Amino acid sequence: MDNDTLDMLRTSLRHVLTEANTVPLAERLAELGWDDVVADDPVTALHTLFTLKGDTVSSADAIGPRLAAALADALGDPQLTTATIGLDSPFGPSALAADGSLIVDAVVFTPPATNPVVVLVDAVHLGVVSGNTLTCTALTTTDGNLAQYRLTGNVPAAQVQCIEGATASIAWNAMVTHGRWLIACELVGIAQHVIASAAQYTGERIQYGKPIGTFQALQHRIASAHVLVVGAARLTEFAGTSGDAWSALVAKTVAGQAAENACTQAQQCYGAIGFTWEHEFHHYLRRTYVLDRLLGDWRSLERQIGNELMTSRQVPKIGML
Amino acid sequence: MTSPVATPTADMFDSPSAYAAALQQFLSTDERAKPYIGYRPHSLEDSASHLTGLQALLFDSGWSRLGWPHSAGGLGGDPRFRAAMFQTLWNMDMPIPEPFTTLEILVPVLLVFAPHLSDALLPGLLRGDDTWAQAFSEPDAGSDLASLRTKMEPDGEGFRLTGQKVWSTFGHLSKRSVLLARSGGPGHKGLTMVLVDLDQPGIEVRPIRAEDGENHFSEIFLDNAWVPADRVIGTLGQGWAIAMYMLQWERGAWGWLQQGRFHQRLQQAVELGTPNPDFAQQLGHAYALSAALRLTTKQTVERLAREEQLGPEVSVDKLLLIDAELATWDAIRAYLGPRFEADDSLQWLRHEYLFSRAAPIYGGSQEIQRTLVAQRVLGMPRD
Amino acid sequence: MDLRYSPEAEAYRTKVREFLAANLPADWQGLGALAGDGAEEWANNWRDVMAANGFLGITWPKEYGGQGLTKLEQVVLGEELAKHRVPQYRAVDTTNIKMLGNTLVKWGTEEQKRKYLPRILSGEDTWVQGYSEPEAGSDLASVHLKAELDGDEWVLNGQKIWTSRGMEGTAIFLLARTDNTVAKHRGITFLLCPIPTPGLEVRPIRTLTGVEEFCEVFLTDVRIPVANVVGPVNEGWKVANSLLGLERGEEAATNPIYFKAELDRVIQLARDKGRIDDPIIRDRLAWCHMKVEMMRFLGYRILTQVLRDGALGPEASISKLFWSEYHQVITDLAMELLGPEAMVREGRRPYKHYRTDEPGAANNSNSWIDVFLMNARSGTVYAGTSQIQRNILAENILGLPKEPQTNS
Repeated sequence: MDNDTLDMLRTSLRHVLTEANTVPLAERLAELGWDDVVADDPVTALHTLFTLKGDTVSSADAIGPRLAAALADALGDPQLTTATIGLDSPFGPSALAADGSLIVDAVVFTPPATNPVVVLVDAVHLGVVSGNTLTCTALTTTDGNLAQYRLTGNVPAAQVQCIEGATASIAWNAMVTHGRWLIACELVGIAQHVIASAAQYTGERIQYGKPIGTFQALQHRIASAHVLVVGAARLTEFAGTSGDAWSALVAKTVAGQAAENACTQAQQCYGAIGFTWEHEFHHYLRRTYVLDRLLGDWRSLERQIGNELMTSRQVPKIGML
Repeated sequence: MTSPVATPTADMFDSPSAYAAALQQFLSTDERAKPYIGYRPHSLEDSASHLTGLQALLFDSGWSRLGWPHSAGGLGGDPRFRAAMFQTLWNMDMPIPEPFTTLEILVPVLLVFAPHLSDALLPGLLRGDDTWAQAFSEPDAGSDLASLRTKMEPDGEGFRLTGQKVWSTFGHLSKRSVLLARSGGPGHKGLTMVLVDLDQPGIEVRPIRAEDGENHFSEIFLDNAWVPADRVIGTLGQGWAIAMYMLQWERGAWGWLQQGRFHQRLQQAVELGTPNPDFAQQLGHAYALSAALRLTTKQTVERLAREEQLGPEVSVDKLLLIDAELATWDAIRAYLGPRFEADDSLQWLRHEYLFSRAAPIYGGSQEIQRTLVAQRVLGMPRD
Repeated sequence: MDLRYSPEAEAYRTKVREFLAANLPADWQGLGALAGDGAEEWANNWRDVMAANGFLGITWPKEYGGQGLTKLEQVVLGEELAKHRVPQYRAVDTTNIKMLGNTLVKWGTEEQKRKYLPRILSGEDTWVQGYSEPEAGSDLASVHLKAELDGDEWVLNGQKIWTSRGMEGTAIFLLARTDNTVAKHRGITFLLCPIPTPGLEVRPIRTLTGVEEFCEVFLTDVRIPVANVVGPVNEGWKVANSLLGLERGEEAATNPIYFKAELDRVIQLARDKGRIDDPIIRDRLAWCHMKVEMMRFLGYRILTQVLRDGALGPEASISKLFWSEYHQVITDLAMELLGPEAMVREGRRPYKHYRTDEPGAANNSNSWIDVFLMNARSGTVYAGTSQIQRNILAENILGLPKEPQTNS
C-alpha cells in the first residue's frame, strides 16, 4: 500500500471508528470496500485498523469477526466465518459432560444471535453450538464502553459439534496468534496516544510559573514510557509480517506492558484531572486493562516465554537483517 | 585442513542473512577459526592480544571487509553486512574483538568527514595492526560535554594539545585516539575533532581499573602534544556537529551488536541452568526486552544502510539497550544462582555482569538520553 | 524508641474496647462486609454513637465538647477502631473533624471555638475543604481566590477544585489571596464560609470510577464577615500547614493496621484463585508483607518522634511516598490474581475512595477494580505528588541542592 492510499485509509477508518453509529462496525467497513482492502494487503490494513482503534479508543467490535475469520481459515470451514468465538469466562470454564452435552460458560463481544458459537473445552477439544441454544447476558464491564456478554447453557450432545485433536489445537492456536497480534496493535495505538497527549498536556499545564513538562521528573517518566512503546511497535509490526506464534506472543507481552506503563506514567503527569470522568484519559486506562487480559495478560505471557526458553534451551531470534 | 573459500564480495549475496550463513560456514569449517570458538578471556589485555589473530583472519579472508567502501580498502556493501558479521560471531560463541566496537563508532564519521584518513588508515585498523580509542570526556566535562577544556592551538603545520581526558575505553591499548578539543571560544562552536598519535612525548596514558578488576578505561594527559593539520576531522569548529553525527552510529549499530550478545548470553544461560518456574518471568522479561531491542536497532541499522539522516530518535535505541542489558544480566544471575557466583569457569560472565551495571552511564547517561527523547522526540518543553 | 504505651493510654485502650464490645453487633465483620448504601448509612449512625459516647474530638478541650485527652489516646483510639474494623466517623469527617476541627482548636478565636467545635462534633455542621484551584495544585501556594475587604466583610471571587465530598458540605474552609504584593506564601488567609451563601456554587466532578467524590466550588462576590478569619490575616499558609504533625502521628499508627488487613485479603484471594503455591505470587506476597512490616516500624519511629518532640522527623517525609507507592503494587497484584474476573464488575463497591477498602470487604472484583483504579493510583497524586515528596526528601532531608524554581 503506498503512503497516499494509507493516509486516505486512515482518514476513513478514523471516521468510521469515531462516528456515533449503531450499525455494526463490520457493515460500515463493508461500505468502505474493506474486504478488498484486506484481501489486497491484509497486514497493513489490519495493523492500521487496530492501531487506530486503540488511538480512538473505539468500542466497536472489530476483534470478534477477525477471530472467527482466523479460526474458520485454519479449519478450512468457511461457515465458521460468521461464528462467535467464546473467550475465557471469569465465572468458570466450558466443559464436555460424560453424556456428550456441552456446558458453556464464555465471554463474547457481540451477542451471537443464531450464529454458531465456538468455545474451547480443553487443549484438544472445541465445541461448536448454535447461538440460539445459549443464554446471553450483558456484563457490567471494567471498561464501561466495550460491550461484553456472558454466554451460558447446557447444550445436549445432539446439538453439539465437536472438533478434536491436533485439528482443534492447531486451529485454536492460529486464532490466538492472530488475536494477539491485533490486540498488540490496539495496545500500541493506545500507548502512543496516551504518551503524545500527556506530553502535550505537560507543555500546557503551568505550576511554579512554568510548564510542568520542564521538570525532569516528568520528562523522564514520559520518555521512558515512550521507549518501551517503540519496542512494542517494532515487535508488533514484525509479528504482523511474519504471522508466527512466537513473535505474536512476544509482541503482545511487550505491548501490554508498554500500554500499562504508558498509562501509569501519563496519569502521574495529568495529576488530579486524570482521575476524572471529564478527561478522556480514563477510557484509555480502563481499555488497556481489559485488552491486556484478553488472550493472556503480559505477566503470564512473560512467564510463558521464560518457561519456553528454559525447557527448550533455545533462545530464538526474532528478525534477521 | 583449510577449505578454500573465494574472497567474498557483496554481490555474491542476496541479503546480509545470506552473507551471515556463508560466514558461519567458513568459521565452522576453517581450522584457523577453531581457537576462538567458545574463547573465554582471562583479562582484557589477554583478550586484546589474543583476538588480533581473529581480526587478521577475518580481514585476510575478506569477511570483515564487507560493509566498507572499496575506497577505504573494503569490499563494498552497506553497513548491514557488518551487523550480520557481529551476529554470526555471537551465534558461533566467538568473541567480538574490542577494536570492532570502537571502529563501528569512529570510522563511519571518518568516511564522511575525513575520507583521506579512512582511505589511508582503515585497512590497518580493520586488520588489527592499528588500534584507536575515543577521548571525549574530561574530569569536568561528563554529561556536559560542551564544557570541555583541552586546549588546541595552531603551531606551524599543525596544532598543539594540552589538557586531560578520561574514561577513554582501551586508551592504554591503543596507538591513536580520536579526540575532541577546544580550538576556539566557549560552548559547542569552539570544538574540533582530531586524530592524535598516542605514542609521542607529550602524551601519557594511564589505565583505570574498573569495578570488575579490569583496565577498561584510561586517563590521557596531554602536554603540548602534536597533531598535524591533516589529522583534523572535518573543519575547525565542526567538532560538536561531528560528535552528534557519531552518536547515531554509537546508538544504532552498537545497539544491534549488543542485542546479539544479550541473546547469546541468554542462550548460554538456558544451556547451563536447570529449568525452574521461579525464574520464568525474569527470563521472559529479559528476553522480551532484548527482542524489542533487536527489532528497534534492526530498523536503525537498515536506515543507516539506506544513508538516511537519523535524528534524536536513536536515543530510544540506547535507552532500550540500557533496560535490556540490565534485565538480561539480572535474569542470568538469578537463574544460574550459586553457580553464577562461585563457578570458576564463569568468571568472564561475572565480569560482564559487573560491566552491565554501567549501561545507564556509558555512551551518554540514561538521564541525558531521556531528556533528549522528552524534548526533541516528544516535544516536551525545555526549561 | 520505646514501644510501650503509658499506663494511662493502656487504661484508655481498655475503655475503648469495652465501648466497642458493648456497641458493635455480635457478628461484626467490618464495614467492608456491608454493601454500598448500607455502609454509608452505618457509618453515619456510628459517628452519632461515637459522638454520644465522647469518642469524637477527644483531644479537644472539654469546654468545646472534647475530652481533654492527649495525642497518645487519640492514637490508641485510632488503633483500636482499626483493629475492630470500624471507622472513626463518616468519610466527610476527615475534613470536618480532623482538618477543620483541629485547626480551630489550634488557631481559632474563643468565639470561633465555642461556636463551631460543638456543632462539628454533633454533626450539625459539615465542613469541606477549599484549598486547591485549577492553577494551584502541586503549587498550592499560588492560590488566586481573591478576598478583598469591603467594610466589615470579605468579598470572595474565584474558584476552588478537588473539594472532597463537597456536596455534603454545610460550610467550607478556604485559602484565599489577601495580599498579592508579597511572596506567594505570605499573602494567604484562612477563611470560613457557610454553604449555601449567595454567589457560591458547588458542582460535582465525576471520578474515573464514575462516582461524585469531588466538587468544584465557584465563588462570585461571596460576602462573609471579617470575623470568619482563622489565625492572623495573611498567615493562612502557616495555619493550613500546622495540621501535618497531628495527622501523620495518627496515620503512622493506623496505616499499618489497614494495609495489613488489605494484605490478608490479597493472600486470601491468592488462595481462592488457587495461586497460593505459585512461587512468583508467593515472592510478591512476601515482598508486600515486608513492606507492611517496614511501614509498621517506620510508624513507630514517627509516632515516637511526634509524641516526644511534638514535631516530625525525617521518617515522616518517607511515609506518604512509602505507602502510596506500595499501594499501587499490591493492588496491581490483586488485579493480576483476579485474572479475567478483573474485566467484569461484580459485587459491592467500596465506600471510601482513598487508601484501602474497608476491612472485612469481600474479595469481589468491584472492590479491587475501584481501589486499584481510583484509591491506589490517586495516592501518588493527592496530598503532595510523589515528585513533590521526593523533592522534599532530597532537599530538606538529604540536603541535595534545590531544584531551580521560578516564580516562588
